[in-house]
Amino acid sequence: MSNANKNGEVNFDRGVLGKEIDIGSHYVSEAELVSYAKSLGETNPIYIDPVFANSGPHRSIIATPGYYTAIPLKPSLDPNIEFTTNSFSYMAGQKVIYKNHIKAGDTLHARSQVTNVYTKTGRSGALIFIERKTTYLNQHNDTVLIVESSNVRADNKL
Amino acid sequence: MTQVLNQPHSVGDEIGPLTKIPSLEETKYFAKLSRLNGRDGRFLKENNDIRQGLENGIEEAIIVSSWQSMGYLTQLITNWMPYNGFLASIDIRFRRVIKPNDILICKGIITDILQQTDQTLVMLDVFIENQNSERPLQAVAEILFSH
Repeated sequence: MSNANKNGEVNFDRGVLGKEIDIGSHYVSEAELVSYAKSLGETNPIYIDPVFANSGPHRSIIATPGYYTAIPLKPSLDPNIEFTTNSFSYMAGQKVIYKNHIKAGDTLHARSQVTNVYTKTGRSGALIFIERKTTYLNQHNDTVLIVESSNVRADNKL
Repeated sequence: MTQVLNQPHSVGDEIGPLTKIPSLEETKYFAKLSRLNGRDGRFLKENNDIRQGLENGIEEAIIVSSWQSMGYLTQLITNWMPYNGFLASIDIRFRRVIKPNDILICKGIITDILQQTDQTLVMLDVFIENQNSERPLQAVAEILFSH
């Protein structure tokens, strides 16, 4: 069985491409930012010491660059690929464009879209890539960061 | 050569190293804090091994999350840059699985310095090297320094 069409392209719900949806919002507490930073062994006081941070350049605890990955969000749209094997997907890459710091007390909103689905043949066989773009905005509607991610899953019967 | 907060930097300068050895407990704690288990959503889909290991108590199945290793790499950068620096972008490739207790050495090198009117853009190649001299993570980062 194959999930590819006669042109060798993967079959998926093309209606999801470019369709941006709201995937939720999240209040960012100081305690959450500090806990997250400390879980990585962070020692920089702008991330973990409220007294220092409040008198520092940002007047607040700010988020470490990877904090956004811990924000609970709804899933983005599913392109409904009919995988023919039981392999698992993994993160192939991410480009993160930072626009503003995330600060304690912010409320973030996120919007996401599937931007591309394609196949590629690697050393271990066929791979299916799903690319997404997620934009995070704060309560002032300022973009804080944009994440362009690529997930990959092997599908050797493609 | 340019001046960034009174510190001279040149193309070819190295940053780091920052060494991390994520223990199993730290890995599980990070996964819990990052909601990698027990919650529906994109994190489950992207971290099947971690979720299944945590839910089934199979510690051998637990790997270090991409987010955790990415956190180490960005820590290398934020440790290096002074407070007038701003991480403008990072483009990361995840190439290999990282397991708890792997020895991770985070390093980087300045590849370009661009003087602009009111800021300086510094380009970095950063990576994590493990105990087998493999590079499970590689990234290109852009740092802006306001004058």
